[in-house]
Amino acid sequence: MIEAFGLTKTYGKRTAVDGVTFTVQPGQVTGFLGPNGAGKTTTMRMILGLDRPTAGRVLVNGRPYAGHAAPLQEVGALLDAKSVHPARSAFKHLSVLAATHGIPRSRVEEVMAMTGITETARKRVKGFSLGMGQRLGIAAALLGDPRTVIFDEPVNGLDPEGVQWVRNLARGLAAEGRTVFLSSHLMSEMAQTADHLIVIGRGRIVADAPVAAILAQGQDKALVRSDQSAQLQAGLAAAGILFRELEAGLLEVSGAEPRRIAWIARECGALVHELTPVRPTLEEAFMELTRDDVEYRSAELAGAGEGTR
Amino acid sequence: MTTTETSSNDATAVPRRDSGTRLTFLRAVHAEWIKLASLRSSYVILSIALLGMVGVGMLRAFSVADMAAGLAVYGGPAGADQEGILKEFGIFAREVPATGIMVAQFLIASLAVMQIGSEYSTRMITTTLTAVPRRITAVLSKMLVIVAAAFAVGILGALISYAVAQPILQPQDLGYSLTADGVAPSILYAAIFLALIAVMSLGIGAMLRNNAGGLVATLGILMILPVIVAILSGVGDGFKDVGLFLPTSAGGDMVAIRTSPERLTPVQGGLVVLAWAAVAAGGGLASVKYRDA
Repeated sequence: MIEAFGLTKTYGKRTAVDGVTFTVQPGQVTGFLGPNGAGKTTTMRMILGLDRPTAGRVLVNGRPYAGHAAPLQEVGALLDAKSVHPARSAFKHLSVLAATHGIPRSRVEEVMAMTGITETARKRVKGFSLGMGQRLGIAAALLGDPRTVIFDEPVNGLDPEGVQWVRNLARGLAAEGRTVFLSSHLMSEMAQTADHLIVIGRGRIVADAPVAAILAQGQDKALVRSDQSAQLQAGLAAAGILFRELEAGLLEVSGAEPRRIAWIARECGALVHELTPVRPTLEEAFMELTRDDVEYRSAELAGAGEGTR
Repeated sequence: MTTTETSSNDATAVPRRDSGTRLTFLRAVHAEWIKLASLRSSYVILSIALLGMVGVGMLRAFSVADMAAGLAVYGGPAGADQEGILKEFGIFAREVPATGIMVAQFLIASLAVMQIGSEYSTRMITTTLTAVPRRITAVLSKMLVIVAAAFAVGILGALISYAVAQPILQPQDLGYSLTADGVAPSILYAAIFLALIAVMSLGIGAMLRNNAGGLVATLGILMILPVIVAILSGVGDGFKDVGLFLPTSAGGDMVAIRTSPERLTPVQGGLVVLAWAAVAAGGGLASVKYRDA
């Protein structure tokens, strides 16, 4: 379990992570979703104590990470697959980590076999492909048989088979009761792997809910075609409903059910001859969530301007 | 061995593996040892340090033997105290085993800087501090390993130099045993000097977090600073005393058997080098402890 309380990190004037509070529960895969630069990696680094929070705190399995007797048994982390000395072999790299905790050599062999790097393990890491490096990083993360797993963009550089493998691994670890926390900037990837999503945008948590709820929460839109568009626009504006005129006589209405739109049309005497609900796609739901709130509203209002005034 | 379970509210059903699996200082040291031993560059640098030390010792032995041979053939300057000069040569001869530190220090310093500098440049430091999140432990374990390596090179290099020097010195009756006056302490001080230089360099590497910067700073202190101070001491006498407190000069005084009131005693020299090491190590520890990885 990971618990963050008001976690904040600022670099000079720039705020990378802005007072985030969340809990990552065991037994399920939690996706940490956000565009590049949203603060995912910084948050993960703070969880591991690599970066010191400017404010707030974060606990892993009830304690700060560094406070555990066997940190590698608590958290297995893949932050940057390239955090390896290139002149050392994969086997030696893992042996070094195992030595810090007295983890037996048999476990080193085990994780090498699990991640499929046994054959290249004696070669210098320098020659590893991106995918092999990623596998080594995952092997290192699993070494301590950790109760909590943190993977930052784990499928980067993996081939489709590798992506599938990571997905199954994450699901398998969660099924064993572990806490699994994966970051990604790809909604489609998360939708297939995660049970729960924490969405971050510009350093703030914009959503923290089960995947299904997030998809449902994506704003419903409807395409409305009317012969009396001007009247309908006035009616919608009066009801405080946001809309955008896509072309003459065609409106894209946000956040209102079709039934409500139809009632408004009836009340203002507009004939509607098309009313099509548009379900948001995964990517749209994500984009909507991570778009800056203020920007979002101003853009939307500009479109609705003529109706409002 | 008992593991305290703090998070009782934690619903994880994952069984604990071996309760003996935990992070300890000695294990961190073991891990650092594997790190050093698994890089070819470590062997290369340590071998060159050892060879350099023996090589310089051998050259020094030849030069002392040569001077003694000259004295035997041509005699000393008119009216010189022949016996006093011979006694002087005897001291030179006994100082031979430790002479090589003047070369070995640069290699030990480079290795120590890279031991941590390369972790930052390869981002390995992230992995290291994830496995060993107690940062003081992480740095001290590195320090212990490089200190052991430097000390070993010092002792081994001095002993080999001693062995190599004897056949060169004996024809001039300048041979001696390891128990001869001042020899054993000089060898010990040589090893301690290299160990302290390693600590200083590791500290500088930890502060600068960069191989190139760390090497420039460290070699600057060891090589360039003495030159600058030497030039300045021509300007004013005050600088002569400053020179005594540079690590290279103090190291020379540490291993010297011949004493002079103008120089530091071995213990004083050792304290000066220790101070350099302590300041740099303190800075390095603080940098790793308080700055983001």
